[in-house]
Amino acid sequence: MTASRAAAASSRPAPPLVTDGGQAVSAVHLTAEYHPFARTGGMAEAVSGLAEFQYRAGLDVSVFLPLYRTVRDVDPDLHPVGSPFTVQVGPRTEEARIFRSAERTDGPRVYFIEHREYFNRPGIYGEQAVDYPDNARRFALFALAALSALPRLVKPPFVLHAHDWHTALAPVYLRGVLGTERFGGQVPAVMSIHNPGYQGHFPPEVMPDLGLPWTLYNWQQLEWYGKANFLKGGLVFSDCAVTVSPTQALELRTPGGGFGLHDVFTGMGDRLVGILNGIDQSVWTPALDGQITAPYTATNLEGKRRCKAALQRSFGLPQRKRVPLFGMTGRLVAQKGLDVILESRALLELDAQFVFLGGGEAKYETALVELAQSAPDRIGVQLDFTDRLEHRLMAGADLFLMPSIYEPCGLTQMRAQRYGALPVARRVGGLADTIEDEVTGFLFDAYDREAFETAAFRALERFADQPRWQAMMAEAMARDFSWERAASRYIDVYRDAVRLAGKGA
Amino acid sequence: MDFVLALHSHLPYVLHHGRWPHGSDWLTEAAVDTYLPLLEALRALEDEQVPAPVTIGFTPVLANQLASPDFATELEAFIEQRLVACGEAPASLEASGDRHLLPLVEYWRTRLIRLRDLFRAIDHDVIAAFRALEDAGRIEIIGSAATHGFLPLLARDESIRFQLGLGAAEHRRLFGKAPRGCWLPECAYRPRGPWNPWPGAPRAPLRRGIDEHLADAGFRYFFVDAHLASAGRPLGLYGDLATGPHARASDRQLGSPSRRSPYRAYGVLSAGRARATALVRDPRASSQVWSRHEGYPGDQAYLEFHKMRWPGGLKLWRVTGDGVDLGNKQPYDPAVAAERARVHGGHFASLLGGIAATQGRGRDGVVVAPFDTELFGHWWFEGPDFLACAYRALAEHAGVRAVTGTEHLTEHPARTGIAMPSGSWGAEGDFSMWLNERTAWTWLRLWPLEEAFWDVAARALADPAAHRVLAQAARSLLLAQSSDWQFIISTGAVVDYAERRFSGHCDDLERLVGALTDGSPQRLAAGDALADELARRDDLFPDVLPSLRAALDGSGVQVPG
Repeated sequence: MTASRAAAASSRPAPPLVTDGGQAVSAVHLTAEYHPFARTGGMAEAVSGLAEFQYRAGLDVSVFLPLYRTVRDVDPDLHPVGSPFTVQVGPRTEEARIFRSAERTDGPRVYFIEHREYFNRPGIYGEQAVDYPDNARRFALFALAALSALPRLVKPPFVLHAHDWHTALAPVYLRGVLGTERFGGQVPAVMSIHNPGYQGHFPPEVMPDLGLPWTLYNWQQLEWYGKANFLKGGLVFSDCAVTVSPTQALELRTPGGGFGLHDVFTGMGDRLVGILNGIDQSVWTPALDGQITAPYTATNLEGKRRCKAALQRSFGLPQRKRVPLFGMTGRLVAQKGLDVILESRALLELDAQFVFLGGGEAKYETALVELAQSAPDRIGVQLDFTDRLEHRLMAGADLFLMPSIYEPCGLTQMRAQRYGALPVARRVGGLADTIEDEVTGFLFDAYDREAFETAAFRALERFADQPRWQAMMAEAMARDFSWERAASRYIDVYRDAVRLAGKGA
Repeated sequence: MDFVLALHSHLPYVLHHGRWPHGSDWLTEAAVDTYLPLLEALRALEDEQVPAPVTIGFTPVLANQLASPDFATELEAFIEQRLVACGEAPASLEASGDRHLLPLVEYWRTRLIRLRDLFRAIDHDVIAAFRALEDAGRIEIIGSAATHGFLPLLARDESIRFQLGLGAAEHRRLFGKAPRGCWLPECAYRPRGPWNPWPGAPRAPLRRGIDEHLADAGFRYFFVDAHLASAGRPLGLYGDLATGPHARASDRQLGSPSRRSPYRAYGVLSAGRARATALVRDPRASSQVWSRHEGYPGDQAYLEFHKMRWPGGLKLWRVTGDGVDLGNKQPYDPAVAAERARVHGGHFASLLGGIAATQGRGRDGVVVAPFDTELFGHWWFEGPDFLACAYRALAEHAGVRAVTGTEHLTEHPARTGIAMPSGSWGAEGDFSMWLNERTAWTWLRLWPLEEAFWDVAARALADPAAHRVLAQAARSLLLAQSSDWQFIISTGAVVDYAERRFSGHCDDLERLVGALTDGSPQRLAAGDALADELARRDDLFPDVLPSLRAALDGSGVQVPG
């Protein structure tokens, strides 16, 4: 193990980011989700993908996340790093401990923060669609514990990179409360916004409860319409902010697309950038995919035909070669455009097949199951999401539905294109940046049934013209959504953050 | 794949039978809301050289009214009255603090003047204007039964032959050529077989199927609702079939009925032969346009039909939202509504493209979407715009070709024959909308009158002195047979008007038949006086007797003179 670690280390590229003094700058990610340990949505893959490819690019990378119960399900063999230590959160003195996964050594170092009362629970944010009532305390403790442990685990200089509202208090504590002396000077801070629809709104009483001074509770810092807004605080106290697609970065600056924070986003100027997430193309390439029935390429689609038959079989649909097969995967929540799909009777009644993979809100689960029962020969539903089924869905589907209300980046549309399942998607966020209308997919603008159906019908007409359809498939399958490009863009952002922090921004 | 849009234009005879709220205003409103805007849209598409091969029917009773000079007078007066309302509206809107609605008054004024100019430019002749479009090869005009009689429930085959034969003859008179397609009133079909629709109905032996009557009158095709075709039994086109609706042919069954595609034409079999072809309504394409709640017309940007400003009757508000009460309707914005019509037209064209791409029938497939013409414009104000936008958008869909009914059938004659059950496009898919506990009395009154009329008709026809009375009695019979009366009674809308009209025509018929039956010179003279009086009011179908003779002869076909 040690030898291979050394071998891997010796073959690593030179550090891509160094200070003026020649010191390599490393990256520290604070995140509430990280694949494969804890996942509710795309952020888990996004953060792990970024960390992984930053590591491959030569950066020293550390990741901190809470030690949820699910973590031990994935890796039962965690080992502690140092002794338990105390963390002062407002009036409370809490005890936390750091653990590490022994599983891998040739990748980012992943640290888990243990606090049994807060994190050893069945859920990550809550249970049965109800948030835990103490989420403010849980994630405040997480941020403070990570900041407390950092000086002895990570050698400066490093960039602190917080992801979404759950970790947004870290820059606030770092800059607004603790001061940076213990870190040996300024620490550049970067805030990533994966899903701006979730911001961490809490009543103002949490300020003293979390050890946050009332002086921070003002309209320029944490206060937001009479509430404490964690994400807003994180943005205000960071040097740079990254959202997950260029279009999303533009939309966030508009009243309609800023989720109430458009003034903050606008105020950041060019310190807010959009960088598309990538996908791990060693995992998401149909020619190399061991989880699908048969591998295939754009020039030899025989394997895809077999994958389609397998998908139809596993969803209990008749194995018809020529019928257009729509797939959809993801959390069943309003954001994903389920309402517009369920309203689209004219589409759902056509002679086409539909498969839905994933669970979520009960009303959508019920509606989809009823739909499948009403047309068992055309519509199939599988509420239990698995990675393997997602691979098989992408491989078997002809078309992929993604009529999202908003979609900061989205990953599944990239995977779908790599697998030749052409997306029918709304022209928002990352979908607008990764799908080219009539070239690799079909885009529509208005969020309503007519616009969605018009795009879907357009796709069906194209599907009926197989030579043109296969040309589009080839174009989509050749698209490069790799992390390499994204990881290097993040280095640019870190460089800006280092420069700005040095100026004392 | 072909697309046939079929529009069915019909109003019962309302000229000289009141004006407002029920009477000739039905006709003038339909003309201002629908017939003229539709004509305007079709002419614009002609100028743009965009194909818009609408298959449009005008029932003979409607066509007679549109051709009447009294209709022109009514329409001019109607528009003038609306323009006066537009002139008076600004002051009252100022007074009520509704200044923001002023631009809409101007919108209506401009529109009314434009439509009046159009009406004058076509010399007040709506019929001739549509005929010109057909003569130019732009559209196909189809016929119907003379007064939209509910054919399967008429007691005598002579009545059916008369409705269809006179309908075809009037079509030739007004539109200059024999109609190939027939709008079967209410899409009501009954196969050959025994007839016993209601207790108390006259006894009838085996009766001919509606399809046979259609063929006898020279019609080649008609429209049916999807459930008739899907429930029908598929057979070889020339299979020898036992007669009657319950005839068995299970050994020739080609597929399960539920799999029957609506996207093809079927030969309709009676007595082992298919002489007429049925085009099948597609429920998917239709419900998009038809349904107020799920379809386009409920869009919040569209003009609200139910809210008007009084005095003047101007409509100034939009739908606003599902379930929004009339008090909370927002002002109408014609530009926004026009954009929605464009979006919906594009969506409809795409839907047809989607159907064409997935239904798996090659070029012989056809999507048939029949509607009441009055939906477009009268009920759904933006409907004519929508149709124009849909035809424009269709040009971009290579998989769909808009054609007329005859164009489709000429290239793709029906290759499969089916025996269809009874049914209609009514609420339950059967005859119950027209024959139920609330309307049974109308049929129990009408059936004996039918019998009495036909029993005396042959003798009266032989006596030239009786011809005036006979002709007017025939008109009264036809007017009493309009399916509208039962429909209105069933929906509960304006029951008293329908009941009065139905009973009035029955009374007239009774008196005229009484004169004919008596046959004495005195009674005939009195009948003549009554006929003259009625002829001034019920002034339609100028030449009914040749068709009546043909109906009596049983040929159904009246050879053009």
